[in-house]
Amino acid sequence: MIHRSRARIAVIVTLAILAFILILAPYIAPFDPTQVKMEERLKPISMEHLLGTDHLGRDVFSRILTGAQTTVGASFLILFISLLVGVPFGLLSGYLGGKIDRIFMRIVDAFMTFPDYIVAIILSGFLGPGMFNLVLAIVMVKWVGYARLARSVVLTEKQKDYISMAKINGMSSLNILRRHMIPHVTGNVMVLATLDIGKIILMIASLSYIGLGAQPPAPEWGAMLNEAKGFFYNAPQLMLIPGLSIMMVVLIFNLLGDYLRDHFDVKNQKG
Amino acid sequence: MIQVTVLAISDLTIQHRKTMIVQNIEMSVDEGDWFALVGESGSGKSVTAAAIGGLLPRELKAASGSILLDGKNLVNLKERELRKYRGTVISYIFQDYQGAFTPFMKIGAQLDEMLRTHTNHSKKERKERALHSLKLVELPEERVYNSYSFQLSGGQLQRAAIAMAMILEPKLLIADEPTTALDSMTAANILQLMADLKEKAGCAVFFITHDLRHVRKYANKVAIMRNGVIVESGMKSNVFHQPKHEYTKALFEAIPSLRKTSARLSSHL
Amino acid sequence: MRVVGQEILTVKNLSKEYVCGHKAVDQVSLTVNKGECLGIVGESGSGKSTLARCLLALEKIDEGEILLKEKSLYNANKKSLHPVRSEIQAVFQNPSASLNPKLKIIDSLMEPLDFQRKIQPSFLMDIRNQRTKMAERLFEMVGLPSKYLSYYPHELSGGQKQRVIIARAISIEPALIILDEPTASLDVSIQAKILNLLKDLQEDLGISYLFISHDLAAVNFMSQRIIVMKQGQIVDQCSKHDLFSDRRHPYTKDLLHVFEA
Repeated sequence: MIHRSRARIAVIVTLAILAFILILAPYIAPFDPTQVKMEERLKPISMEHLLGTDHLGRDVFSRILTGAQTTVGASFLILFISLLVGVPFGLLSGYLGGKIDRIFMRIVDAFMTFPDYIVAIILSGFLGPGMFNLVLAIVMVKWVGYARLARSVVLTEKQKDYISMAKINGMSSLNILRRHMIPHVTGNVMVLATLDIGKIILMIASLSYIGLGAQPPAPEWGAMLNEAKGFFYNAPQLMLIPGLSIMMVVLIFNLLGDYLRDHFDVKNQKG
Repeated sequence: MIQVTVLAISDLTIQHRKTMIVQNIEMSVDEGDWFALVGESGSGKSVTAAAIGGLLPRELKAASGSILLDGKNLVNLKERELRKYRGTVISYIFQDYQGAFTPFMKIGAQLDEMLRTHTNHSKKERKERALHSLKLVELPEERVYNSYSFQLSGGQLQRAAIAMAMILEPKLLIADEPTTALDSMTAANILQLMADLKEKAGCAVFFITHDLRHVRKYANKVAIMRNGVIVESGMKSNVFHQPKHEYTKALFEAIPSLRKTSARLSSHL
Repeated sequence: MRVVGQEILTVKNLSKEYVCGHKAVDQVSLTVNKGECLGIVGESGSGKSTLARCLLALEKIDEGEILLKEKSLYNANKKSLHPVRSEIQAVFQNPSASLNPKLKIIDSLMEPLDFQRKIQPSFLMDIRNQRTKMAERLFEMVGLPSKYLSYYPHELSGGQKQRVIIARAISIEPALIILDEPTASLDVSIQAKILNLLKDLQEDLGISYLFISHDLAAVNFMSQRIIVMKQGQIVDQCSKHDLFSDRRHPYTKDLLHVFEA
C-alpha cells in the first residue's frame, strides 16, 4: 500500500500548495496584475517577469496568480451553491416521493435535455456578461446533477430494511434523512463534486474565453487565453501558461476525486 | 447391470493464491446416481461444482488432482474444449433461476440457440425438440416457448431452466442449490420433477444443497463437506441412519423436526 | 384460557389491497397473547410479509382494525403512533439490509434507545444513561462479544448481524416482536442457534412473538399456535398439538407432507 499512501501525500501536498496560492495570491504577486506598461509589452520569461509579460506589458505571473483566485475561487463558489441547492432538493424529493418527486423529475428532465454548455451559454448570454452572471448560469446547470445523485441514493437506500427499522423505532423523517441518508449521500456527492470541479473550471474558462465571464482587465485564465490568441506566433507562452495552469488544476482535482472515491467506501477503510 | 462411472473426482485441491478452498476431495458419481453434496456456506461445495464444468473464477486454480468426466480429465482442459462438454455432457442449473435466461429473448429462442450451437437439426426439428423438452418439465409448452423470462413465475422459470439444461441429454446434471430460492411446496415439486427426468433420461444428478431435508427423499449417495474437506460420504442410508462424523450428527440435530418437538434445537456446531 | 388484557395484539378483518385491485391481505383476524409465540406459515405471495408491514405501520391498511395493547394503531396520527412504536419491534429476513453499512454496530444497536429516551427497559434500569454499558449488556444477552460494538456491519457474519438485530429489537423491551423469516438467509447450524436464542429471550423477558416463515418445521418449533395463510387469507389455524389432526385443511396437509418427506 506504499503506492496508495504516496499518492495520498502527493494529492494533499499539491492541494495545500494550491490553497496557499489561492489565499495569498495578492501578496505573492510581484506586480499589479492590471497595471499596463506598454514599453514592457511581450517580454519573454526573465528574472524580473517570471513568466514574461503580455501584449499590454502586464506581468503574466501576477495575472496567473490572481486569475487563479477568480477561476478556481468561482468554481468553488459554484460548487458550494450547487450542493446547497441540489442536495437538499434531491434528498427531499427522493424521500417524500409522490407528487413532489414527479414534478421535480420533470424539472430535472427539462434541464438534462440540453448539453451543459449550451444551457450555460444561453443563460449567461441572457443574463449578460460578467462574473456574477456566469456563476449564476453555471449553478443553474450544475445543481441538477447533485439533486439527481442525492435522489437516486435516497431511492436505493429507502428500500432497505434498516430504514423500515428506523421508522419502527419512531424516528422522524428529518432524523432518518440526517442519520441514515446523508452519510450515504455525502460520499457519492463528494466524489462527484471533486470530479466536477475540473469541469466547472473548464466551463468558466471556456465561457470567459468567448467573452461571457470575467471582463477585461480582470485577470481570468480563460480570458487570458482569449487575449493571447492574437499573439500566438510571437509569444506562444502567453497561451501555454494559462492553458497549462487550467490543465494542472483540473488534473489535481480529478486525482483527488479518485482518491476520495476509495476513501468513502467504508469497506476499504479496514481489512 | 454394470455401473458406469460418469464423474470421478480424485485428490482435487483448489486454491485461492495460497489458501486452500477445497482440499484433497474424492468422489465418484455413477450413471443413475443422485449424488448430494451437503455443506454450509463457505464449505467449498459450490466451488467444487464450478470446477467440474471449468467454471472457476480466474483467481481460483485447481492445484492438484483430477476430474474425470466419462474418462476424460477436465482439469487444465482448454476453454474451447471445455465448451464442447458444457451443455452436451454436463449441464447446470443454479439457485438464481432468473439469471438462467436473458430477459431480452423469448424462452423458445434461447432453447433454439442452444440446439443450433450443438446440433445439426433443421429449424423444424429444433422447434419440436424445444417444445418437447418444455413438455417434459410439465410446462404449457407453446405458451412458455413464446414467453419472455419475466412473464413466468419462479417455479416455472426453474422448470424452464431444467428444460434447457436437459435438452441435449447430458450425462451429468449439476444442480447448485436449485430450490433454495423457491418456496417449500414449489421446491418439492421441482425435486420430484428432477427425479422423474433423471429416470427417463438415465443421467446422473450432482445435487448441491445446504439443507439435509432436500437430500432425504431422492439422493442415493451423500457427501458432507466442511471447510473444503469431505468429512463423511457414502450411501444415503448409511449416512442418514448411522452418521459417523460429529459434524454430520450435529447437522441432523440442528434441523427442527415436525414430530419430535424439543424445547431447544441442538447447536453443537 | 383467554383473559381480557392478556391480548397484546388484536387484528380484526384486516384487508390490504394493492394498486391493481389484487388483495394482498384479505379479511385477516388474529390475536397474539402475552408471552406467546404465534406462527404464521405461508408461501411467497400468501400475504404474510404484507401483513407484517401493516402491523408495523409501514403500510396503510384499507380495511379493518389493529389493536396493540388495546390501543388502535390506525386512527392514530403520527404523534399518537409514537407510544405504540415503543411496544413493537421487528426482525427481518436479510440481516445485511437491516443495518446501515455506514454506521458502526453500536450506533445501529442503540438507535431505538437513542431516539426514544423515555423508554426504560427493566433489564437496563441500573445502568441507564450509560450508553456503552447498555450496549454491552444487550450484546451479552444475545451472546456477542462487546468488541464487535465498534465494528462495521460488513465485518460481521450473517448470524452475528442477526444477533445484533435481535439485540436491537429487545433493547426497548417491547410487548411484541414481529419475526419475518428471521433465519431464512442463514446456514442450518446458525438457524438453530438463532431460534434457540429467540426462545431463551422470550422465556426470560416475556415478550410475545409473531413468527412468520415458509418453514413449517421452524414455525412448529417456535410457536404455540399456528396460522396457515394462502393468497392473503387465513385458511387454517390450530394449536401446535393439533397440527397432525385429520381436521386440518387440505393445504396444511400438503405442507405437512412436504416437510415430512
